[in-house]
Amino acid sequence: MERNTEEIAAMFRKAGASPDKNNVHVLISNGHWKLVKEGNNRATAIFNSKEEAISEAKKYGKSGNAKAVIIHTVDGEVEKRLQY
Amino acid sequence: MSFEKNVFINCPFDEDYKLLLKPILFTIIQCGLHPKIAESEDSGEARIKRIEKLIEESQYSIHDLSRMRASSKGEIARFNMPFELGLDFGCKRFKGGEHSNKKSLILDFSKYRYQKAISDISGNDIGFHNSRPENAIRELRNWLQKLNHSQKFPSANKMWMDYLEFNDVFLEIMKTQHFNKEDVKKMPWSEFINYIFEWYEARKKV
Repeated sequence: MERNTEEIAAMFRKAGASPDKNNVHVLISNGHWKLVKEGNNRATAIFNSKEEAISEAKKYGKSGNAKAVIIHTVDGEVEKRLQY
Repeated sequence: MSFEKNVFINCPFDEDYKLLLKPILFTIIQCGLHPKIAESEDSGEARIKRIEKLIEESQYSIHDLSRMRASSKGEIARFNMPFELGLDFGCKRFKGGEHSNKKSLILDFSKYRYQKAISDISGNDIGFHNSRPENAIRELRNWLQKLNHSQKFPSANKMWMDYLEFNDVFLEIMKTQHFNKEDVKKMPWSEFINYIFEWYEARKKV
């Protein structure tokens, strides 16, 4: 398939210009697992374990407070993306 | 592109190291600089010639020596990185002119490990990442901030969170364009770097 790199570049520009505040990220930072709403610089909550952070993030999704929960590995890669 | 903005990255290019190279590229771009890697250049020339050219064209350089070790019994440690570090030091020392202002950051896995193999580099700027991308971002961002104190870079924490968001955006966009895992894995570095630029140019205006 031929790649339309300009079309893709435009999609990156659009995504960069508008963080989706309905997305919640489960991530590790400074040794702590956190929930961070996209576009925020501060964590919404800090947890002792990744499991606790995921469990809380799922509540955000189920209650309609998040459209997507993005769970990251310690390396920052996307491990799982849950849509709500 | 100008000498003052270029950052030569001397590192491995295997799959495992991608986890560190991606955040390193991202951090350089967030600091308003241009990453230069041999793998993103036109391949008409021999690799060593391309590397020499990049070294000459770059004021900054990052040398990751963390793979200067055998990872399993019988394997030989890799010495391309310390060799290219030597070329860069030689360029700074002997070429003169703007090259006398070259700045280098040496990255390694852990503190003091490098001293057992290459103690001559003691006294240079050396950072340690323990193979953790978050640590690599912090070491690199802080080093660049120290050298460019008239500018105000985002915090390492902000860069890390932006990087995580970018990783999600990247995969989502690739899915819409029907890129499969192999397409993403084999994507040319120049294309990946371009997408970071596009995303960050828009993001910094938000």
